[in-house]
Amino acid sequence: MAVEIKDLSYVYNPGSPFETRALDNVTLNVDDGDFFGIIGHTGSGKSTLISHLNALTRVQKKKKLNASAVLRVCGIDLTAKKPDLKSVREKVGMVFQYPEYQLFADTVRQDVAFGPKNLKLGEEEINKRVREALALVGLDYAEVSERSPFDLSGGQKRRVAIAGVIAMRPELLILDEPTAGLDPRGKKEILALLHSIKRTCPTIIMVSHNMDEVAACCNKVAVMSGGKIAGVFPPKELFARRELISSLGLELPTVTELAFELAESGLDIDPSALGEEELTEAIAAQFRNK
Amino acid sequence: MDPRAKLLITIAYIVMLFFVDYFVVYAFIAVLLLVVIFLSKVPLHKVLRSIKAVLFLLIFTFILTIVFNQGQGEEAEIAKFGWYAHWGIFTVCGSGLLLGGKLICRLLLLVLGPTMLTFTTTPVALTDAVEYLLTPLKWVKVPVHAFAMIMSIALSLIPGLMEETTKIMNAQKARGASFDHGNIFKRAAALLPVLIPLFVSSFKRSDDLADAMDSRCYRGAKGRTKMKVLKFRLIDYLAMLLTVALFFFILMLFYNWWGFAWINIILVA
Ligand SMILES: Nc1ncnc2c1ncn2[C@@H]1O[C@H](COP(=O)(O)OP(=O)(O)OP(=O)(O)O)[C@@H](O)[C@H]1O
Ligand SMILES: [Mg+2]
Repeated sequence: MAVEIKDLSYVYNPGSPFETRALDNVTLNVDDGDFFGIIGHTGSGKSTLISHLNALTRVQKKKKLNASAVLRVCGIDLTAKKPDLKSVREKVGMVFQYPEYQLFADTVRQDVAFGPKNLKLGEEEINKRVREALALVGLDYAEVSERSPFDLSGGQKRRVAIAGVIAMRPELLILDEPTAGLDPRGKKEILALLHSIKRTCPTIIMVSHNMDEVAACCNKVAVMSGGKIAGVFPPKELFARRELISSLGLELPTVTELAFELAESGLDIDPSALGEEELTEAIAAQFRNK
Repeated sequence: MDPRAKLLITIAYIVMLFFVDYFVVYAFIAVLLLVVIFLSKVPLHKVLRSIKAVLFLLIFTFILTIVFNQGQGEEAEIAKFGWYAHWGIFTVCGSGLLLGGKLICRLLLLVLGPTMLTFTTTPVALTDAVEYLLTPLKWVKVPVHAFAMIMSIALSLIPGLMEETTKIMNAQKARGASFDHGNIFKRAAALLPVLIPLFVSSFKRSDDLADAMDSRCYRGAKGRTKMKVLKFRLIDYLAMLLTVALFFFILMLFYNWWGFAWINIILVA
């Protein structure tokens, strides 16, 4: 199992007037090979949860808090007092929100090489990984490798930043809203890229606000609300629960929304249809039968 | 209170401390400060926490002065305090202890006074006060308003900058960077991947801010009115008067004007 979480809580500013319970007895399992989605409205604790997964946020131990918590990521127990941080960071790749802000080096090549260098790999291996990572994110090595990362477009910067993480060849890749702030085309490209990354990095966790993306990519989705997990569903099942979605202040994927409307106005189709093609097929079948 | 009055009083207070030479007067000022703290309703432990930052400096200076002060007229020293230790170039003696004690009092009070100022005054009010007090410089064509504006913008950007720093540090940590290993040069080098993105985003942010100000027709000081007009009230005048009186008293002790040194004798005795 890639990630095993049990009864994990986290409180910001404990004991002060600003105390916020960001995580409240979270229990969650992510299997190897999952493309796992995490959705939830703003402030529901998604970022706090994933920052636990590579030990940037340590498990809080105070009085009764987290006394029986379990946090196991890629076989490493993160509730231990001194977990092996180096191997955690090696195994868990983390792409933050707006990762382009972490670019710093003179050239794209050096920036992507930063992670592998920190792993103390040999020169040759580093070069190999940089090439491979840039190819995976769809950038042309010859064209961009010697350019300054600051001269690239927003979407290109983001790809370089993602390349910088996958060049470390993580076993588990975590992305916090990888498509935030991109235009529709940029979004599509990033999603396509995730699918190709999935081949080298088998387990992916993606935090997202965009239901269309979640519906298109993930095989399991956890819904967070107020620091709790409201449930884990396959996307089809999740979006069939229209009330749950709207009670959490979330939206349905556009396709599902349309399917629901059509079903309500008398068309005999399964409203939890997810893909565009699936829906068109269902509609077409309806009319063929008539 | 008016931030201008507070600022003036704090400046006077700092200058004043350098003229104080007696423990009794330190004690007196400390009591006054306690009254101020009490009146301001700032929790005492919060004020005391600010000492923690300079604690090391305090202890360090204390030990240095004690150890390296040789005292004058050693016999008199021994006679007076009956205690004298000598060890290589290090000497512990009465006058050193006295001097060290005074230094500590001075430093402590020096830290606590301005702390109270920052606890009770918003940065914006403070910059307003600075701008007002520097007004005379306008006559020699110093762009005082611009300075004040720069100061208040800088102050308001600090929290955002801190947040940004943690974010970027986390991102680089996730890429295997470590900031707490190796010697000092290695650590400095490790900070580069944090500083560069920080600079880049700061420049971008200041560009954005300049655009935002431009598009709201900001033209500098000319014809700009204030939303909150500063006004001296009775309490401000009273507080300033008190400060002046105290300052005068301390100067009097220090320079022995009109032979007032006899007070010293009473104070020391
Ligand atoms: N550094 C912090 N200090 C104090 N409180 C915080 C901090 N970071 C987050 N919180 C609080 O913890 C809660 C969860 O925040 P978190 O960032 O995990 O939400 P999120 O689900 O990632 O939201 P978003 O979708 O906006 O990214 C929020 O109520 C937030 O106010
Ligand atoms: Mg977040």
